[in-house]
Amino acid sequence: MFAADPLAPTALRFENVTFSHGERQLFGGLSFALEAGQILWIIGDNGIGKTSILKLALGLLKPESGKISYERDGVSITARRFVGYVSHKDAFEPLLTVRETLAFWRDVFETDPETEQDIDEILSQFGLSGQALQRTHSLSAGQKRRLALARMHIGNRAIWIMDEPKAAMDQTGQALIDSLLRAHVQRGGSALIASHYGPAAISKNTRKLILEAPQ
Amino acid sequence: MTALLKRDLMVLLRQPRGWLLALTFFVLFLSIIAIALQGDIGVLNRIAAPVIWLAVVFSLLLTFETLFTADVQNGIMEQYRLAGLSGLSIVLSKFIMVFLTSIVPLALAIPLIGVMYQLPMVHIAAITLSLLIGAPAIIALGLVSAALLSGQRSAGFLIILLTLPFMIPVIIFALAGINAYPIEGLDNPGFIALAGLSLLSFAICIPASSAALKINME
Repeated sequence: MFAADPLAPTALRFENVTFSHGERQLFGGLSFALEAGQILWIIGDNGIGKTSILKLALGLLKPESGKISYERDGVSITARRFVGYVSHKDAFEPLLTVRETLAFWRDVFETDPETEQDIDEILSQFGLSGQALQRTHSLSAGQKRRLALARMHIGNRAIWIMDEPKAAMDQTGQALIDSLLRAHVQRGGSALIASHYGPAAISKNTRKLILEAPQ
Repeated sequence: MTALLKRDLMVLLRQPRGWLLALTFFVLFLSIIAIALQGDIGVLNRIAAPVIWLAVVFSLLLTFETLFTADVQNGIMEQYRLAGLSGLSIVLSKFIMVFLTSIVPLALAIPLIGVMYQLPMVHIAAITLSLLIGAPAIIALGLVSAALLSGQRSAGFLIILLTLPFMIPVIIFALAGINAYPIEGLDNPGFIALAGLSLLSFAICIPASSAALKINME
């Protein structure tokens, strides 16, 4: 359980955040909170600022005004090592095989050897066993998405930030994401997801934030 | 850092174009000069050191463009940052990789060029030593330019323009050291100044490259 880690954040909070791309203001005074055990879907059209919200949460962009913080019991903390990101970019070395890619990221994340999962198990869990020896540049878009999810899974992050995770995924892949999210939330994790479409079903753990272009 | 270095070396073995390009340019450039001078051993002996150093600098400049750009543009650098990898460890792993895959092959090729130019053994040793002493300066200077322009596509020409002026003192001290080596040995003023320049460049350029990478990711 993530809450058992005394350093893991229990909430991500946006307070009155304003952000612009050049002259165009994408949003002003945006406020929301994502608590442990929750999934927040950010829904909206292309170019409305969904990815910008994710990048602000990741610290890859800076807001013009307002405050973005990770908190534990109401106190702001540094939480980068608890955050995992599936971006719309591949973010894989094209010349490495799928197995080598996962082994490499496991080394980068410096996972605890006692708790780390066998690479073959992970490949099987994410439906990539058949592609283990295939170089990542030859994977399909959906397979690359699965590999990105597997990488985040290895990192064992409390907060998942995902940009269009179901894009290019077949039905099995979409079901895999749903089951991963359910398991993640049950462990006390949380997820911030940008998507064109909302979740299949809204539960007590799932919320929607709909972005609309200013009139 | 070990994981990064291991990954970079695996990738270079699978796509040797990067280091083979530098080595091929180095050998071809120096061979063409020998042919152009019609094998005049007297002239080749006189110009060997400066020409070999120019070939080293130009061939290394060819390798800097691709050091960071692919990782920045395909999002790997973002993932490194989120994984908590420091910019310093990323830059240091690139430094070691360039040394192993570019400087070492060039240093091994110098004796062969020396034979082609019919250089005395002491002269070949001096040029090889000057490359090994000056390598940290050349790599560190190249890394700063590569990191500064890592967010740009096709920045090769800009990297050459930015880096080349800073290479001039390195070449001057290296040539002074090579000329003094047969009489004064390794601890001559030229080599000492070159070593100082290497240390200084390393100390300044590695943190600067790390900062430049961070800026390019924001």
